Amino acid sequence: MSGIECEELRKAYGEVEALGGVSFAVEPGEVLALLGPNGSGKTTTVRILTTLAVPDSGAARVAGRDILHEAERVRRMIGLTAQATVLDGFLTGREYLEIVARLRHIPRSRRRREIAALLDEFELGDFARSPTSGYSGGMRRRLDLAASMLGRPLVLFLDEPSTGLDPHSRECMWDAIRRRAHAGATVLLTTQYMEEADALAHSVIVLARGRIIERGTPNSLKDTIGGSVVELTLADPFQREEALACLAGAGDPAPSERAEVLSFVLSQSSPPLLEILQRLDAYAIEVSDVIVRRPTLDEAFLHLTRGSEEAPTRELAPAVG
Amino acid sequence: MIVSGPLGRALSDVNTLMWRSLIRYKRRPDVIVFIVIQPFVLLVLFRYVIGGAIRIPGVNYVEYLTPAVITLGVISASIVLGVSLTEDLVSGAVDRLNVLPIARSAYLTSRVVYDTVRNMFVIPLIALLGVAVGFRFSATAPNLLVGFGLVLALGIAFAWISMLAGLLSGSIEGMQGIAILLFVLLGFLSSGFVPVSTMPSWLQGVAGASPVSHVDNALRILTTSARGPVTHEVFAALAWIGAILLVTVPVSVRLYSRHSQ
Repeated sequence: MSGIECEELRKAYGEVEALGGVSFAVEPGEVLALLGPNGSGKTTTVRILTTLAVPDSGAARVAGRDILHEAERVRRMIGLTAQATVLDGFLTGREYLEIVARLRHIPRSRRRREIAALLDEFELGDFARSPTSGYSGGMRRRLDLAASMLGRPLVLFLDEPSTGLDPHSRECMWDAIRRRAHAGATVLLTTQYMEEADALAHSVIVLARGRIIERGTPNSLKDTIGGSVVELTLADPFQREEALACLAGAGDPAPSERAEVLSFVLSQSSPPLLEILQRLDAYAIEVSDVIVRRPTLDEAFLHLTRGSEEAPTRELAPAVG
Repeated sequence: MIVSGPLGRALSDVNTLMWRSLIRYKRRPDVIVFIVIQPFVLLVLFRYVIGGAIRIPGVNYVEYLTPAVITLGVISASIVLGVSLTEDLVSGAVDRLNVLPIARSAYLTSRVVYDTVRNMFVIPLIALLGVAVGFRFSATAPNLLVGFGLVLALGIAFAWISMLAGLLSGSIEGMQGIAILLFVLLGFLSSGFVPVSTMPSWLQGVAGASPVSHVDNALRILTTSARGPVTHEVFAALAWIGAILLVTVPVSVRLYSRHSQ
């Protein structure tokens, strides 16, 4: 039985097409990351699969159940951490979990144990008796995650779970997700952070304007960008323009955060690295450091979405998540 | 909960959500205080500030006034419901509930049931405030119960009106606007504070026919020395309440379940 299967999901909000035919499958134990900028259809996909929205066309099964005709059964199998963390500020952390556990109809005997274990896992035990209105952003998110994992759902949906999380909370969350996947849960997470997809996901789908523009593993996605990335550090940052002119045709320039660093992606037609360095030397441009590395997922993502932006047939990105 | 099956689960969901509301009121007692303070201010205002200038032949004004304040107290308490429903819709709390395997009807039902239980305390409390400013009951126990029951039923009707307004408004500010309009129009355009016969004739029909007027009149006849066609007033009030529920319940449920789609 597949964890999530969906076929040709389409959804429009008025004139705006949020999803233009999306199909994929996720196996139990697998973590799939939906990667894409705002408005690419990530949240719409999650809302449809969690029965909060109805697709205009297409079909999907979650934990083997049809999302349209067996919505109630689907809800029994899933956990969702939505993008906006809405907690009842007047409830304590423990009360919030208690209410969700009761609404999930977890038997009383199991409730107490499960809540205690989750409070512990998400490092909330010390604050279980405080109202959530006093929680930090990271604590609120952690509580929200804990709630979505009550009742050990077979399929977990996490919509941009690390937005606004501090590094420690993020690690804590990543570990929790890995443990669930390891135990056989199907996990679908959406993210704008390539690092997160790289750290967690077995497979990645890149969405842009409601369509899948690429799919694969984090590694295969990096391969789509082509060859290696070369980073040259110039001894004199003021020689940047000169160096760029001299390297014209040597590769595909990639964005770089520092002025003295030139980075570009080597392609099939690029000259050997040694020749590039010799060329710079001939123009008296001193290079203080050379790094050759595999592209990051960030670069792969920019490369892919830039391609889609240039496609003339696509319309402007809608402002729907 | 011993009942099992879908109904048992639905009841257990309503129960859980009521527990949530209960904690909300426990932690935010200001909401309850607001619910009781407002009628108290009205009582003091109309008894001591405005009431001196109002002469209703053969009637002690505080006796005329108190039943209307009880009714208005319940109506204004129902506004809180619509506002907090809008809050839950706008914030995404409703989505959070809808992704859980709970009965779709549980949320709205729990809100109404909770408000009704709360009103069981609010109604006698306002009546006691009335006593504090000089109101005297002259009613048999069954009459008192029928009177309070009628106000309770009006409260249920207004709870649904308020939730429907909350579902339609889409924003907290919008909901508050609707609520205040509703409160002022229905509360004062009635026989609550002055007899309808003192109003211009074109207004008398509207004010006299209002459900609030019928409940006020019935409550007055049932609990004070006032006399009048009590059966007519009670049935007119019940007919109004039934009609309101007939419209607001199905429309609200429909809007609520469509909310996210």
